[in-house]
Amino acid sequence: MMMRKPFRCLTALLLGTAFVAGQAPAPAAAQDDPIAGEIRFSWWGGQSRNEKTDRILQLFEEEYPDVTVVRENSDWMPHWDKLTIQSAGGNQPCTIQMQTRWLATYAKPNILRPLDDLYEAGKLDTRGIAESVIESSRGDDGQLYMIPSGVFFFGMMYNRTMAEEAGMPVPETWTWSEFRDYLEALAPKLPDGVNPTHNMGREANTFVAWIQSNGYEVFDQGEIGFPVEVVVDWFNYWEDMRKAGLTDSAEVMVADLGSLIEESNIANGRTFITERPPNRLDSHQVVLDAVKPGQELGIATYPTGEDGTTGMDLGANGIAIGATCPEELLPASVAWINFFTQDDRAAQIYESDNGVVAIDRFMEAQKNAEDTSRGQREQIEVFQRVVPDAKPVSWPSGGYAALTEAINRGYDAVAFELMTPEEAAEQFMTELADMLG
Amino acid sequence: MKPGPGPEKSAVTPAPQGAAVLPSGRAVPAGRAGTNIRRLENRAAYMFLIPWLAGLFGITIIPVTVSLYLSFTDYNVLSAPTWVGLENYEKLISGDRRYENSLWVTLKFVGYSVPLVLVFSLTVAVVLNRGLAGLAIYRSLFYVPSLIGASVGIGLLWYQVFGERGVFNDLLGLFGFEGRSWVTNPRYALSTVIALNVWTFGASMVIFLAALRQIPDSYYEAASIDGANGWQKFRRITLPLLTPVIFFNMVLLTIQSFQSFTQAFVISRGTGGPVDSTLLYTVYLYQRAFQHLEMGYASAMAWVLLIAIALFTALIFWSAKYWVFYGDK
Repeated sequence: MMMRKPFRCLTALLLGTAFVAGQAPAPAAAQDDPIAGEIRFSWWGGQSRNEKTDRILQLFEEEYPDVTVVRENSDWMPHWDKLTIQSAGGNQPCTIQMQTRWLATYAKPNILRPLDDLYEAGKLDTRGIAESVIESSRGDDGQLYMIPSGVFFFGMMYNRTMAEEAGMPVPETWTWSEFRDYLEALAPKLPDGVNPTHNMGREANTFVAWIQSNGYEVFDQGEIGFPVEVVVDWFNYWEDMRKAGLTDSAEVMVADLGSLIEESNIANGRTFITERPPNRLDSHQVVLDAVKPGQELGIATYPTGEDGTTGMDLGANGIAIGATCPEELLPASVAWINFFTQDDRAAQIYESDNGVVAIDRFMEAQKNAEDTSRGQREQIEVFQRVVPDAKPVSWPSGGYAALTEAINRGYDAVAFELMTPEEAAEQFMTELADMLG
Repeated sequence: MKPGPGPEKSAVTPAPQGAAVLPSGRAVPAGRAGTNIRRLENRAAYMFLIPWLAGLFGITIIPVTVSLYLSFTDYNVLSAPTWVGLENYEKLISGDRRYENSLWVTLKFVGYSVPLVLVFSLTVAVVLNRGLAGLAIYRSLFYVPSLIGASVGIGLLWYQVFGERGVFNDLLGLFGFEGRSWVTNPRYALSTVIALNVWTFGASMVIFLAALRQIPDSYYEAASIDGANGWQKFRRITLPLLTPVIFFNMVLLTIQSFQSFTQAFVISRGTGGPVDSTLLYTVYLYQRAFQHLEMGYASAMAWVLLIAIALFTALIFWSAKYWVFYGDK
């Protein structure tokens, strides 16, 4: 299987985009052709993001009165399902929200339009976006397929109030064994009915952190990059904690994954710590405020290897142009991408809702603005702290979906005691290899 | 005096004897007329048939034919299909553990669902046939689930009802039992899907009810005179006379159950889990087609399903001669 061009240099972002941004070749966009017509924009996200995106689109349409943008919103997975079907039918939207994890699947000239000509001609305005982030948006063929707008990372969400009441503040960094020891010490101090941790044995993002913190790559040239022993150890790690009563039950574990924020155990004060996207801190806090007033959620980083090696993945979200977008609609599409990524008002409205904004000056402005929410500010602060050590995974086509599916099934079989960790690990490796083709 | 209106004058010359009149009112000679009328009628018939033919070819025959072709290819939707011969079918037979599992899950689902729906719907129909007051209301109430049972909304509702904090556990709590999350435990998850399917018994019930109404009262009166009790009447009169309808319902339910998708898909949130415990054949087919983008493999699965349904249906038809009573033999 072909592997997408690695984007390890994404971590250069941490070094300060101001430095690398100076290398970005694109000056302000120069539009020669009339910016007019009706374009479609498809994105994923919930109600809050929809409202923000719509407000930005309204501003855009005010600035470009000859352009109309048809809004096409979906949830996370339906966004990709829909794009696949649209691509098969040749009716992709002109502008499509894209992510580096899925780029290998869709970065083909018959699906997405290579953007190099627009980028090199300076029509796509990439001022302030780190060159390394732009490079991460290239496909297997080396062509540019996406203009990044936000950089995302994964972490854990925890109940800060419970930690403080127990007199055990969460440390900035911890190893996997320290994480277990912490929970063991915390468990007796938690309120009744609160699980110390959600069982993350089936969580792909946490598993990625485990693999990389143990010194392995998730994928190597499109193949599995770690041995089966890593998976066995992972299953045993969570089984030990489950049997020690430190995690939720297997049934609750399955129910909690992918649950709505309103139903999730962390937002309802029933779990102390779990894996959740850091950009969703505010949404969870709103629910917790209603259920357990006065309690506060915080963002924690994934544990590291025993030698301190970090395993956290990092990726970028952005906007791509559909391959079937008519030439006459390109100026409007380019204008929309430029507006979304470069306009101060757009950045302010969006508030790093889908990854920390990729432009350094916006990030600093959001961090320091008085009206920035606590959750968004904390997200940016943790982001700046952890990004230097992050290890962006080089996801092959379909790799993320395959890893998620295989680890879900593999650990479920262990947690429900239908397989031993060894048997489930073997099954995991076979299924993952099969799905990768 | 103004003359009154006389008989309306036809705008068309009256047709001579033996001639025909076209729909336009124009008369044509007898020999030619027959041909013309037939042609016009045929044209009109085809015009009326066009919507149906478009549907038949556009969304049935052509896609089915294309899927047969695709089943011999490697096709990921985003690139052109490449011919691989029987590879997909060989993989189905020998190399896919999840496929085998989906077969067993589906057989279990059909094996439990069909008899349960038949028994449940027949029982309710017999009860309702006893001339209850407000029968029409009960019949409608029992029929409603079969209209909405396969919807996404009901699937989501079912997930909540049988979840850890669902109504079902509240009911169990009243009797002192401790509840659990039924939909997220591989030992019970399929049972909740089967329960949802059984809940949609209304359509079968209505058919049974109609059939029960057709059984002459004289049979029961004669049996009463001979001293038969209620069970004997049901066993010796009702059941034999209902066998054609049981057969009909069984065929329909078997085909429907093999194709069941929405309930398992929604309850398992698209995964067929936990641990593939609700991985119905159709759910796995969907995953292969739209999540893994293996349209060729999924097409092969679809054709195997078609053949399996045909075989099971044929088996039921073959067995009918041993247990279906038509009253004319």
